Order: sequence, then C-alpha cells, then structure tokens
Amino acid sequence: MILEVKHGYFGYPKDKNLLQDICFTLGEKEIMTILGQNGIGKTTILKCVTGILKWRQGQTLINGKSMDSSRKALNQIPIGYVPQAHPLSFPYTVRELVTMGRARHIGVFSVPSGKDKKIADQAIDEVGIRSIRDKLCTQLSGGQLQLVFIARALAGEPKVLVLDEPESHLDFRNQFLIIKLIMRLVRERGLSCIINTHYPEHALRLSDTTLLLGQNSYLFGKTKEIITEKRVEEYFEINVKILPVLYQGEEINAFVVLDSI
Amino acid sequence: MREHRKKSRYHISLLLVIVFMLSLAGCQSSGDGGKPAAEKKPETRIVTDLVGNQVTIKANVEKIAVVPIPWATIVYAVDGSGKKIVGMHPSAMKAYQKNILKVMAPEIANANSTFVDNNFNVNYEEVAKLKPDLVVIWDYQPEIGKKLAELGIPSVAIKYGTLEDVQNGIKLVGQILDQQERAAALIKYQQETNSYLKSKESTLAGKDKPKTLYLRDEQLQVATGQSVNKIMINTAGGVNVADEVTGDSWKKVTMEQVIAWNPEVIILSNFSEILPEDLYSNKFSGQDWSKIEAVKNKKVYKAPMGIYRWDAPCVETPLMIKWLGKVFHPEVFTDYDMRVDLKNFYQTYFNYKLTDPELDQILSSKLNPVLKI
Amino acid sequence: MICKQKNLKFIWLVMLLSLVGMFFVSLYGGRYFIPPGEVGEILSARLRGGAQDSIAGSVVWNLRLPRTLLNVLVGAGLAIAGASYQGIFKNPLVSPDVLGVSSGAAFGAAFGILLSGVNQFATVLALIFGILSVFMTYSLSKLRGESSTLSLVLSGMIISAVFSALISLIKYVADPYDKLPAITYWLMGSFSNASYSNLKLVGVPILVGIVGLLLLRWRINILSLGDEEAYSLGINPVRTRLVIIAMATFVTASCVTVTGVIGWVGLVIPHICRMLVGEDHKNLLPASCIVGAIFMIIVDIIARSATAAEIPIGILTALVGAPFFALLFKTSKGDWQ
Repeated sequence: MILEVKHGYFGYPKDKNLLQDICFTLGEKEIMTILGQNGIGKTTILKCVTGILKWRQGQTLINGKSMDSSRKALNQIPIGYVPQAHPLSFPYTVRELVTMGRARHIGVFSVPSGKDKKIADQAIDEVGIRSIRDKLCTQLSGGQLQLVFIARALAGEPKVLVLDEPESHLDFRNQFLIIKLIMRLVRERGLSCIINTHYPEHALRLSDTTLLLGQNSYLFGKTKEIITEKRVEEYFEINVKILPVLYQGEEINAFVVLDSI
Repeated sequence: MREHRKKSRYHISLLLVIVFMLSLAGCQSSGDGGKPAAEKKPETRIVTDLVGNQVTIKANVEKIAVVPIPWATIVYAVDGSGKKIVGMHPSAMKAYQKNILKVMAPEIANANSTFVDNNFNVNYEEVAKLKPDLVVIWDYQPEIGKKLAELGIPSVAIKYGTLEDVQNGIKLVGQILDQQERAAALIKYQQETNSYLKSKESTLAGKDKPKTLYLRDEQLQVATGQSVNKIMINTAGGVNVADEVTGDSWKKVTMEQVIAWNPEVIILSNFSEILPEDLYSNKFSGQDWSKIEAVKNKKVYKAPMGIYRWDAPCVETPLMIKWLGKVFHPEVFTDYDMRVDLKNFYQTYFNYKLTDPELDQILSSKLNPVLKI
Repeated sequence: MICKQKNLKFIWLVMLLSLVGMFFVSLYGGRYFIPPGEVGEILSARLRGGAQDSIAGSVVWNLRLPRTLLNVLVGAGLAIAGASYQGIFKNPLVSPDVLGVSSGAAFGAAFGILLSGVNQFATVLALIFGILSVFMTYSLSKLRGESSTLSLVLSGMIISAVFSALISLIKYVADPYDKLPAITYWLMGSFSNASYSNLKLVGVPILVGIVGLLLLRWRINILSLGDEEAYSLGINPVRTRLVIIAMATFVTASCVTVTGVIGWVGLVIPHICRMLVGEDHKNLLPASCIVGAIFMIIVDIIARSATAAEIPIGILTALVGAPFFALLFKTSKGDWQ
C-alpha cells in the first residue's frame, strides 16, 4: 500500500467540516476514482491528499510515514498533481511549462539542467504532444492543454498521479483518449492514480477502487461494488440503468438516466 | 407602515429645505458685516495697472498687501517706509529677515505673511481680515483680482521681466501712494545709471567680454538667455555663457555643459546659501569645478544683497549692473566708487546711513576679497 | 512567437554587443566635445596607470564614466525588479512601484531636502523610507490574513497613496525659491548626481539584489502559476515570494535613492524582452538586465546632451515608454489573459 488517508477531517476556515472521517487506501498500480455531486468536496479532498491544504484532523500516510505539515514529505514520494485545464496568465511554451514539473528536483538557486530538459522532453513524447512542443500554451485547445498538464506532472517522476476531472471540457473522443492515456501510464510506468470524475462509466471502465462522496457519508471500496444502480440513486438522487455492452470480449458499461425530462 | 414612512420622509425633506434656506440667509447677512445703509464715500482715484486695467482705489491708501515676492521692497522704496505694508509673501518675509532691511525697516516684521502661500494662492478670508486698501498681484492672476473685487478690495497687476517693467511698476506704485516724486526720483536714478552705462558703451565695445555664468544654486540652475540677468551682464560688458538655454529665466544644466562653456567669471545668486569656497573645494558630489577657468583664477563671486536680492529685478538693479561693471572691467569703471554710490543711494532714497560693516554685508565684501569693492 | 535555440543565441549576442557598444558611445559623447581619438587615448592612458589632468580627462573619467555605470546599474535594476514583480504577481501590468517603494523613497528624499537641502541626509532618508514603505505594505496585507498577491497589491496602493499625499504636503510647504525646485527636480529623476561615492553607496545593494533575483529566476516561473500549483509542484510560494520581494525592493529603493523616481523602465523593458526571448523567466530576467541597461544609457545620453538644459529623465522615459506600451498592446493582443 502506497498511500493511505486515516480519519481525515477538513473544512474551510469558519466553516464546519466538509469532509468527515475520510479513510481510504491506495495500492501500487491501483487506480482510484472519486465521485460525488458538485460541491461535495471532490477537489478539496484532492488538495488535502496532495498537501496543498492541511487536514484539520487525521493524516495522509505515504508508505506508512505521515506526511508532515512542512510539505517536505511530498518530495519523498512524489505526487504529480494534474489540475483541470485552465487558461494561463503568461504565454509559456509547452516545453517551458512541462519543464516546470521538474521543480522538485531543481535546487532553489538553479535552473533546469540538461538532464531535466531530457526528462521533460520524454514526458512530452510519452503523452504524445511532441508536435506542439514549441507552441505557446495560450494558443492551445482545452484538450491539448490538459495533455500538457499531464506531461508536466509526469516530468516530476511521480509515483502517484492525481488528476482533477481530466475529461472536463473535452469532446467525447478526447475524453476517451485521456482515459486511454492514463491506463497506459499506469501499466507502463507503474503509477498509482487518483482521479476525480463526473463520469461513472469512466470510473467503471478504468478504476479499481472508488470513493463515493455524499453529504454526510461516503463509501469506499471496489468500483464494481460501489457504483451500482442503487448507490447511484442514493448518492446522486437520480434513477439510472447500467447496461453492460459486450464488445470484442470486453464488457463495457453504459449509463442511462431513467428520470423523465 | 409604508404610509407612515412616506410621511416621515416628507417631513424630514421639508425640514432640510428649511434649514438650507436659513443657512443661505445667514450667509448673506454675515456678508454684509452689518454696515450702516448709507455712508460717507471716501475720496477715490483711478490708476491704470500694468495690464491696462483701470482700477479705482482710495485716494489715501494706508494698507497694502503684496503678493509678488520682490514687490514688497519696491513699495518700501517708493514710500520710504514699510508702515503701509500689511501683508507680503512668505518667501519675501524670509529674505527680509536675513538682510539689512530688517534693520532699516523694523515695522515690516509685523506684516502678515499667511494671506498668500508659497504657491501664490491667496487665502481670501485672511485677506478679508487684513482689510487692505489694495492688493498687488501678478499679471497672470486675473481670477484673484476678480475674487478680491467681489470682496470690495481693489487689486493692481504688475509684470515681472524686464527693467522697463520694473520702472513702470515703480511709477504705478508712486501714483497709488501719492509718492510720485519719490517714484520719479527712483526712476531717474535708473535712467541716470543707464546714461552712465551708455557713456561707457564705446569703451566697452573694444574690450573682451568675459564669459559669465550666473549660478543660482548647487542644483546647477543657471540664468538663461531669457533672464533679466543676461541683460544685466550684457549691459555691464560681459556675455552670458548660458544664452542658448531658453524656456524660463532659470534652468538646470549638466556639469558637462558647464565645463563645455568654461566660464571666466561665475556669479553666485542669493537664492541659495552657496559660497565661492564651495566651488573652490569641489564640495558637491557629481560636480567637478576644478578645471573651470573661473575657479582656477578664483573669479567666483557672491552677488550682493541689499534690501532685496540683487539677482532679481528690483529698485537696486542699477547698482547691480554697476557692480557687475566693476567685476568685469574694473579698468573702465575706475571713476565709479561703489561704496560711495551705495551710501548715497541709501541716504537719498531710504534716509538711512550705511556703516562700513553694513556696506561689507551688502556687498559680500568678505566673500569677494579679490574685488576690493 | 517561436524562439528556436539558434535564434536565441543570436539574440543574446546582439544584446550583449549592443550593451558594450552603447556603453562606449556614452563615454564618447556629450555636450563637451572630445574627438573620438582623444577619448580612446584617455581611456587607455588611465588603464596604463597614467594620471589625467586635462579637462577632457576629467570629463570622461569623473563625469561620463560614473554616470554611464550608474545608467547600467539603475537600468538593469529597475528592469529586473519589474520583470520579477510581474512574474510573482502574475500580472504583466505591474511595475516595481506596486508595493510603494518609489513613493516611500520619494517621500524620504523630499522630507530630507525640506529639512536640510540636497545632501547625504536626504539620500539616506530616501533609502530608509523606501524599504519602510514596502515593510508597511507587507504588514498591512497580513492584516487580512494570509498575504495573497491581491492583498499585497491593494495594500501597496494604499501605502503609495499615503506617501504621495505626504509628498504633496511637503511640496506645498516648501519654499518656492530653493527647496521646492530641488524637490521637484529630484522627483522627476536625474543622473546628474552620479559620482564614484554614489556608486559606492548603492552599487553593492543593487548588485546584490540583481544577483539574488537572477539566482531565483527559474522559481519565478513556478510562482507565476499560482500558489496552489506551486505547492503541488513542491515549492513554498510564500517564502520564495517574500525573498523575491525583499531583493526587488532593495534594488528599487537603492535606484530611487540615487536617481529619483524614474518610471516606465520596470514596466516596459520586461515586455520588450518577452518579445525577444520569450516568457521563461530563466531567460527573461537576464535579458531584462541587459536591455534595461541599454535603454537607460540611450535615454540618459539624450537627457544630458540633446539640449543645453538637462531634460528630466522621468519625462523622457514616459515619453518613450507610454507610446511603446500602447504599441505593444496592439501587436501582442492575445498572448495574455
């Protein structure tokens, strides 16, 4: 087990707890998806796990050791954080932005070395955006930018990849390609993954475990057991039907919303 | 509930309107000052100021407030006394406290210098308190003139610039104070000086004109080609090195430019505390005076200051030009004794007997030992 | 704007050569005409150890050389401070004065001049108040909780406004014949006080600050992404930002102390450099130093040589900077959000 959250509580200042008694584990080469309604705390939980925000109570354990508040422990097991694609204030090139992912490995007073640049370039190749390597980030589409952010996270040579709704703002083909990429990275690089998603079908297809967040409760367990019609109705207050589709030997699940319009 | 609120809003508005009207009425009545309806009209006279306005003033002017800085001393000179000066510019007051006028006219010490501020803005309530019979203002301040007229205070505008402007101003002040004779005498002195200097013109024409720099302060502000100092220098047989500079009377230049000009004579103004010694010892960082002709030959002189700074156009300007003549061409002006002339001037026009130490003080003799003036 | 490796090397070469070139042009030119051959002689003679007693020698060694050196220091300093601030505040419209250092230093100088005329006292006071004002801005921003960039900028506006008001007050009470013109001239900026003693006074702080900023230049990239992303990349943005602010303040306060307020350099030069070398602060900060120095030398040559009277340099940088900025806006419309 590579990452564990033990009894985590969090609330924004002057608010009561948004997240209560969160417990889950993440193993090597495991993919965990987090689902829940808007505003339930999905992004918040990612920030707590990666150390951007501090748990009010409880802790994150990395390889059994507690991640202390100085955030230095982040460097012990590098966590690569991939935010949602958003517009940037400055027109960096793709290469420059991806190289920033090396920040952990570059001294305070140093600049990227040849090795850093090579690793960044490798990340760019791996994600498949070599052709836009010298383009300005302000001129990219949402999908391309998302890939750049993934490459940036990869450049830091992480063991855990944390992605915040990577399929948002993408057309459904690009959505699929992102899912495919994540799968490949986990298999080829041996990463573990935590992914926020709004798409239960992606969770079913991709992840091993799922954290389903609700108002005052949550569920954690194997995806197949968590994402069921009954649970979805409970946590999303909506009626769905999960239809398995058999294609080329693989069972793929489709979601249909049953409530009348 | 709504009705009630509407009603009270109406009441309050009505109350406010009444209060407003009362305050307006109050202002009006306080403006009147409670004077009796009919009063004996004092004798008046009409003068024309230097921008051409016809101004009606009391025949018997007792209290004058002076905005332009050098003009308080001109009023003093024309009147022969400072007792009619009830207000003057704060910078003029500063100069007064530093020079000989303080001794000659102690009555000026009580003049008000808060009715106008450093930037020539007039505080009308202070003026109203002073109740002057007349205010002297600059020609570029017509709005002040209008405002003063609303208060019932006449104002005359004077101009700064040429020596002719000064003469016209002296004449005007003479008319105002009914001191035309004294005014004429002062102007005559100026004209006598002019003829004296004209008589030297042909001799001077054959002489080399010393290149002169008139330095105002350690910021390297110098008298430009548009200044009255240039006229003073030319008349005395010199040439102003900074003639090419325009745009204002005083302008800041670089040290390199001064070195390029390489003046033979440097005159230091009384607008700053700067002394010849400061240039000789290269006191100011970023400036190198050591290679300049005037400094090498120790020809740096502090300008004199009498009842006012001789760097600006005033009643003592004829004396300044003659002083410059002695500085530039002592051999041409051998017939002229500065100290005797100065003593006579002060005796005749100010009825004041200058002692030798006072002469030294005015002429900055100790600072300019070489001149032997 | 695509900056390939080869292009970049060429651009660096051109910038460095221009700097050296302009440096010498500045030594060779001025109101006091010295034939170029003679200037060369003066320079080499001094380097060989011979003393120079001529006027020309004095002009070159005591007037032009310290002044040009100061041009380089101040131009580089203001430009790199501006570039750094734009990065850490994630805002390309920010200048080194954003936290109030210029207003504070200007107040200190004006106050000093009012009390005792233009001398060392005013200089020291300028430095003290320049640094003090940023300290006040920082403290004020902390009152709102964690000092985010927004609260820093707002606090900077408040402190600047306070000092500006105080400066107006000082100008109001200053004697219009001696103190006020001195204060006004100082506020408009000028290199006329350049001397070796001045260089000794501010040379070290400016150089230390510039070197410090250059060492941290790649980190500014990270900070420009925002605090959350910085944390996620393993950097403590608050601490880094504090150090950068301290360095940039040091540099700017020292510059303002010796030359008065010179605007537009810290705002416009980084933008010019972005067009030349791109956004990566690894390249942007050193480029800003070089281009800032070149710019300052050129403008000061004009200020001290175009006319007999010295043109206040703040006016020139505004006249050049403002239209240039408008032009930049027009041509690079879309690169910033």
